[in-house]
Amino acid sequence: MNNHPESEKLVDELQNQPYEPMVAAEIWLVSLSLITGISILIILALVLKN
Amino acid sequence: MQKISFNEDRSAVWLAFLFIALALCLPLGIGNLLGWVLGVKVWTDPFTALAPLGKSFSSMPGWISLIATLAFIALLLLWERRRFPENKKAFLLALLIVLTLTMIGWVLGHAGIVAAVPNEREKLGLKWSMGLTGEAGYLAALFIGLIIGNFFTPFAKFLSQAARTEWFIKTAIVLVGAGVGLKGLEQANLAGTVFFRGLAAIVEAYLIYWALVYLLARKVFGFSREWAAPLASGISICGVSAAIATGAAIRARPVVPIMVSSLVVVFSVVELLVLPFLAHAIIPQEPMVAAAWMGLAVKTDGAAIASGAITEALYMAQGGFQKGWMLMTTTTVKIFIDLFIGVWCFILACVWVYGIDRKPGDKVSLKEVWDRFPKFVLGYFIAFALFIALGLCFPEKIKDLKESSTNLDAFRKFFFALAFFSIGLSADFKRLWQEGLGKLILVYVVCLFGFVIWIGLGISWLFFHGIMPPTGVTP
Repeated sequence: MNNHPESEKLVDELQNQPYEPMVAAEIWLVSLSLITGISILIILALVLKN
Repeated sequence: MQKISFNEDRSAVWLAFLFIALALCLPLGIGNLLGWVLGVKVWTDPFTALAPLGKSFSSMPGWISLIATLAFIALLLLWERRRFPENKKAFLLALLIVLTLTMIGWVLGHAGIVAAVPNEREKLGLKWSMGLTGEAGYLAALFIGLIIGNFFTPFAKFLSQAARTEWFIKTAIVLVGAGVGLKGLEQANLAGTVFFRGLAAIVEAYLIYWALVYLLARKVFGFSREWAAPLASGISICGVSAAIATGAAIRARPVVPIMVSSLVVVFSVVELLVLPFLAHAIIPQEPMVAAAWMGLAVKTDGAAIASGAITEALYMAQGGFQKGWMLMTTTTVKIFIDLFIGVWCFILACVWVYGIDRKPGDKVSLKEVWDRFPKFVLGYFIAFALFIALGLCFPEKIKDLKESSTNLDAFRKFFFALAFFSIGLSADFKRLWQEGLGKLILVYVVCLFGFVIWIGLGISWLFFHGIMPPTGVTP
């Protein structure tokens, strides 16, 4: 079996993912997605109901 | 192996557009210049598996189509690297071996016992099959790569000069744009009610599933951004293409999305085998809700469409509905979701370039943004827009455009398979799979059974509740 250093690094990463705090851009992306998504679904549901 | 500076991003775009230009010769009236490309069917007799895709090439033997396809790709890739100072003969030999082994994996992955989904078994005379769909070809290519990478190391090193994962992935993604654009146009002509409700599916997959999976992967399971983004796309959008396109857009190492996609392919079998029957058991009076649910919850195109077909068979047995409506609903929902992969990748690429990769205090010039922006995402958009524009301007040419798109799709699938083979070859994927899989499976199971299928059911109920397919004999 060969041992690729890159694979060793990846296995280590998967098992012990280094702590990488969420930055502002990620928080914005997730929050905006959820708020926009839920709002659009409510609007679509209301339009369909009427 | 020589270290050569080679812009895979730009090369992939040019290469893909060369394929597209040749494919478009058909609607332009010049001829079906790519009709000879090999199509691989799910088979029980290997001699019937291979055939050229073009109808005008139906008399061409499958083996000639196979050789022509491999030779054409080899020549194009060799031509793309003509200015690089490597040993051309060695590169060509390695490339031919890589292409041949990948094709063997691709064909083996289409073996009926592996690929046939439950509704295909009777036609193929099979009592049992694994139901992995033709996408098992990716796993078979990966497996062959793994065997060589792990047990024939010097050979793997020789092949690695031609096994250029990113090049293959990016070329394939630009080709995805052409196919998706045309599919979108076709779906736009479908029944308005289904079309309108399909919009809800896009919102659900991209804005709700993606955000929730990403948040969970990052905050609860502690995954880094590089792992969390492809994982979120793989679980929430459409498996292989979405995970790979996202990985490339955020500049993740290719092994990350490939590992995620192989997990998605395996898991889609579980969904395919469970969800149609679960739907029939819990909502027996709501065939359209069940059909939409399959499109939302089953994550690879092949498995989703097969789930739609199984669902339709289950409901038709009880209700005497017209054939095709439920399958159309599943397909529409799935294709609507697929349509926006490029838009989502574009958004992610912008967020990563502007908001994440940029260091605090850095002023990124427009030129720098352009340099760092993945060009294949733009290539995807151009291909997408081109096919939509051609379909809208020349509706009489849609049939030819569809055939062109089918030819391009054969290349797209093969380039994805090449990427899977290359990853198997270049990384100790087996160990990665064994040791790193547990955590990925955990995220997948928690997301899928925790909220993806239930939100999918809830939204399908909300938008399709009370709609019934027409009854009577299919016209």
